[in-house]
This record gives sequence, C-alpha cells and structure tokens, in this order.
Amino acid sequence: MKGFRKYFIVLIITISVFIAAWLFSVYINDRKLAEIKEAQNQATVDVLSSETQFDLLQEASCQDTSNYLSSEISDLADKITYGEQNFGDQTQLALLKQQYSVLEVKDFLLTKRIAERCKQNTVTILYFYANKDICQDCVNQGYALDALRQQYPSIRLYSFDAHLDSSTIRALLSIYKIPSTLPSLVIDGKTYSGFMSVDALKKALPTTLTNPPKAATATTAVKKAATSK
Amino acid sequence: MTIPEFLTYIVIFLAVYVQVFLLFTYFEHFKEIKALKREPLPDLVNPPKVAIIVPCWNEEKTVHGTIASILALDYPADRLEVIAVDDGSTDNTWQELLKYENHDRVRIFHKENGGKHTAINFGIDNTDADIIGGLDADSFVAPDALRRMIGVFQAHPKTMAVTPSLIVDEPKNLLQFAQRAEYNMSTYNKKMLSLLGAIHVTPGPFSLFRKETFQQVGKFRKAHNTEDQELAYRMQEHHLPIEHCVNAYVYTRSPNTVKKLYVQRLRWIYGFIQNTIDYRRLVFKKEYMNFSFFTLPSGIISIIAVVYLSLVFAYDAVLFIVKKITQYSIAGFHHGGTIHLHFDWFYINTQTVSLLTIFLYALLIFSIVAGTRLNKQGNGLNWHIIAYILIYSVIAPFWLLKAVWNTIARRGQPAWR
Repeated sequence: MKGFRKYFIVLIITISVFIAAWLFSVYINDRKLAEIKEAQNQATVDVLSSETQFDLLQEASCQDTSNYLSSEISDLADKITYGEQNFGDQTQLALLKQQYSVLEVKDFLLTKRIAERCKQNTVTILYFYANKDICQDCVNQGYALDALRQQYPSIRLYSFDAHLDSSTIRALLSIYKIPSTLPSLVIDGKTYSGFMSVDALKKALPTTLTNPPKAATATTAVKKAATSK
Repeated sequence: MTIPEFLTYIVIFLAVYVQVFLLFTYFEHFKEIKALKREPLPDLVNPPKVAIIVPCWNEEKTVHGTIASILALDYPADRLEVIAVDDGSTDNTWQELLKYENHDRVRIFHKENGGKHTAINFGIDNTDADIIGGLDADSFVAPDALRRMIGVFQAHPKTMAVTPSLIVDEPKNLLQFAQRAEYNMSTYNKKMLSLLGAIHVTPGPFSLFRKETFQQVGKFRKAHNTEDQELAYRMQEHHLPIEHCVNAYVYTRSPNTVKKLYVQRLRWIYGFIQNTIDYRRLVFKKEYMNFSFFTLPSGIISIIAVVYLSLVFAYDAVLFIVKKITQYSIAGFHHGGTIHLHFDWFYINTQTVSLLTIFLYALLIFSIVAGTRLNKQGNGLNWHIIAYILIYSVIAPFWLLKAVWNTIARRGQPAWR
C-alpha cells in the first residue's frame, strides 16, 4: 500500500481499538456497579430483617436477637472504595455511598438499642473522614483503626465521609458536635478530634473491652462446678 | 482526567499505533511471508565475487571458528574470499592469523588499532569483490545463508544491502533465553521494516553490501560506536534499498550477564538516539517515506514510552513503599488492610488503560511468536517469552534512561564492551 493511506487506515484501527477498550471498560464497570447495588439491596434487607426481628422479640430472650449486617457489608465498603478509585463516573457511586451511610446509621442505632436492652458491652466507633487528597491524617487514621479492629474484632466500626452530601450525615455531625477538623471519632458516645494513634484509641476504649475479667470469671466458674460436685 | 493520565493515554496510543502498523504490514504481505518458510535454496547464475571481512581485536580464541564458518559456506569456492584484519590486537590474534598466510581463500592484514569500522574499511579498500560483508568474531553463519542472501541481490537488482536474521547461539541462562525471544522479535520487526523499505540498521554480523554502496555513500564512519546503524541511515538518505533475508541465519553469542547486556544496550540505544539526532533532517520528509514517517518516529516513541512508563511505575512504587512504611509506623504488624484470599472478579482492573496495556502485550507476544516461526525456532509459544517480558520490563528502563540521560547531559559515548 503506497503513500499515506496505510497510515490513515492504521490510525482508524488504533482509534477503534481505543473506543472498543473504553466501551468494554464502561460495560464492565456498569456490571460492577450493578453488583454493588445488588449487595446493597441485600444489606438493606438484612438491616430491615434485624429491626423487624428486634421489634418482634421485644419481650423474648436477648439470645434470639441478632443485628448482624450481612457478611457482604465490609466487602461492600471495600468495593465502594475501589469504585471511587477506579471508576470514571462517580455520580452513581456517590448515591450508593449515601445509601450505604444510611444503612450504617440504621445498623448503629439497632446495635445501640440491643446493647441497652440486653445489657451488652458492645463498643461502637463512628469514624468521620474526608477524601485522602485533602486529609492525609484520615488515611493514617484508617491504618490505626484497621489495626485496632484486628486486635478487637468485636468493635463495631462505622465510617462516614463527612463531606458527603447527605442529610443523615449532617444530622450525625450535628448530634455528636463533630468539628471541622478531620479525622474525628466518636468512641462509645464521646467525641475525639484529630488523629489518634492505636495506643490512644485503646485508651479511649472501655476497660471492659481492653481488660475483660475473663480469667476471674473462668476460675469462679470452675470453682462453682467443683463445689457442686 | 489529570495531566499524567492524559500523557499515559498519548504514550499508549502511539505505542499501539506502532504495533498495529507492524501487524497491518504482516497481514498485508501474509502470503509472501508464508511462502518464505518454504522458499527453496536459490540457483545462482554467475555468482558474484564475495568478500567477507573479519575485523579482529583480541580474538585469538574465536577467530578460527569465525573463519572456518565462512569457508564452510555453501558457495563457489573461487567466488568467496575471507579478509581477516587484525586491528592492533594485544593478544596472539595476529599469530593465529599467520596460520592462514598461505591459504588461497584467506588474506590477512595487520594494522594499528583504530576501531572496528577502520578495520572493515581497510578490508573494503583491499578487495575488488562485488559483494562485501563483515562478520564479527563472536558470530557464526549458517552454511546456506550466503547463497540465500546473494539470491536476494540477484532477484532485486536495485537492492544495495541485505541483512540476515540473527539468532542467539546456544543460550545457557535465563538472560540469554530472554534475549533469544527478543532476537526472534527483531526478525519479525526487521522483516516488516524491510517490506516497508525502512530498515535502519545493517547489523555487523554478516550484512552484505554491493561494492557500489561504498562508492556512492562512502565507507563506514565513526558514529557513536554504532557504525552499522549510521551506514544504514546514510543509505536511506541516498535512497539505496536495504532488504532483509529472513531465511539467512547468523548465530551470535549474546551477553551472559546483566552488566554485559546493559553495556551493549546502552551503546545501541545511545547510538540510535545520537544517529537520529545527527540525521534529524530525515524525519517527517515525504521523500524518505516509511523510514522517515515510521521507523525513526517509532524508535523515538518506543524510547519515550518506556522511559515515561517506567518513571510512572517508579513513582507509583515509591508511593507504595511510603504507604507501607506509614502503615507499619502507625499500626505495627497489625497494619490491617483487606486481604482477599478468595478470587473476586470485581477487583480485576478493567480500566481502559489496563485493557489497552493487555492489548499491547498481546501484540508484543504475537511479534515474538511470528519472529520465532520466521527463524524456524519452533512454534513460538514457549517460556522464553515470559522470561523476556519479565526480565526486560525490569532492566530495559535502566539502559534507556541512562542513554537518555547521557544525551541530555551530553556525556561521552558508552564503551564498546
């Protein structure tokens, strides 16, 4: 093929390859968004089920009550975060994130209600952060909270993007008097502002969690068992 | 879209364009290329007189093998001579060459050291052969290579130079197997450039020239230790066609250590950059067509692409290391993070850039496979490809960056070895 015709044809092919790659990427990302939506719907059903179960069993034993969000909930958070970093169109993700935040608040309220009625020592942490581009301390706080959660898996941690356009989050910010300085944490009802190290977080936790009287209880139980024989 | 993202798209677009151009050329000439695999040995009518010059500098151990491989070529004995030029060796090369003093097909010469190109020019001055070529002392020629290359000269009277296919001889370690894959890919690239009339290098090992070439454009010149490339540029400037003979195989020893490979490639890349700068007047000139609009720009694009992408990768790697250090300093060994032990397709990176990168690698693998088949080294699908991609992805940016740096900093030219 003589002249520049070939250069032009190759240009068309290359542009076509780019368009095909872009369309395929958009298609796959749509599928991923659909997966997030589906998981979110499942989580919504789980929360509603927990609430209904709680209402139904008001007078029943606390043992029958559970408020665990579906096992997909942490996976859902990871996927939303991944989507924020990798998907081009953030509009749908922002909506999903709002829904996810509402879901978290509902689970938080339910946890509190169950803990109060059933006298459970459930520790909850509300974590308010901002985008990593404007809040490096929030990234670091994330590392510290991950470490804390690994040491104390029973802690129920709820993360909220403080800058998300959501009336629910605005209400939370107002109720707990969250300052503009981020990150901010609410640990067992008390508000803390600024970065907290793992040690500082541990100190803020109730002693019932950090120093559980397991040994004494176990010893007493054994003694009681021995005495009854 | 950020500026780095935009630049990444531009670089990938150009890289894809170059590879698609080569692929298009491959399928454009598919029948011709397919026929090459079964091409019979040509019958030569009035075979021209051929002189093969062997420039020697401290080659006492290998020079016999090199001369023997030339004398063993399937070519009329009275039409082939060997001109061995000792370029001021400091070992026993000259004593070894003296053993051929009375050989009727080997002529030996001794001169003061002046560099490889001076030794070849010395040989050119001392022969009246119609076709002149050179053979480095670290290379060996397949017996039928000369006959096939002369066949190209006879089939294409306007062709002024013919280059062979280079194959890594007896690879022994991972690095050499990776180079074998790379050389096979080079055969593919060179054949495509040949079909485009746009070859930019006539490699030292066994490239053949009509004697009129040197009369028209002059002999080899000192050119950033890449004289074989400079001559090809000069030939292109004078519109002297260069062909690639796929079925003519030359086996060459390849560097067996990373350091030796680094030195060799630094010399090649630096030479390419310098020669391209010296001949920048040829870029984007319609009269030089594919050489001007494809070969030279694609070489520049390749260097820019690798340099840019390796810098981006290095930047990301630094960010990752900083992140990990921060994580450990904050959280100790309880650094957390979600570890996905189960496979979840959701986390497969399907961004446009990633898909295009996969496409680019697919084209790269195709070129290695096609080149391997052209070199008759098997069906092409083997682990050498993986070795090539993994090893070169890590080490190639270093010599490319160094060559670019030397150019920017106006450093001296890299050593020969």
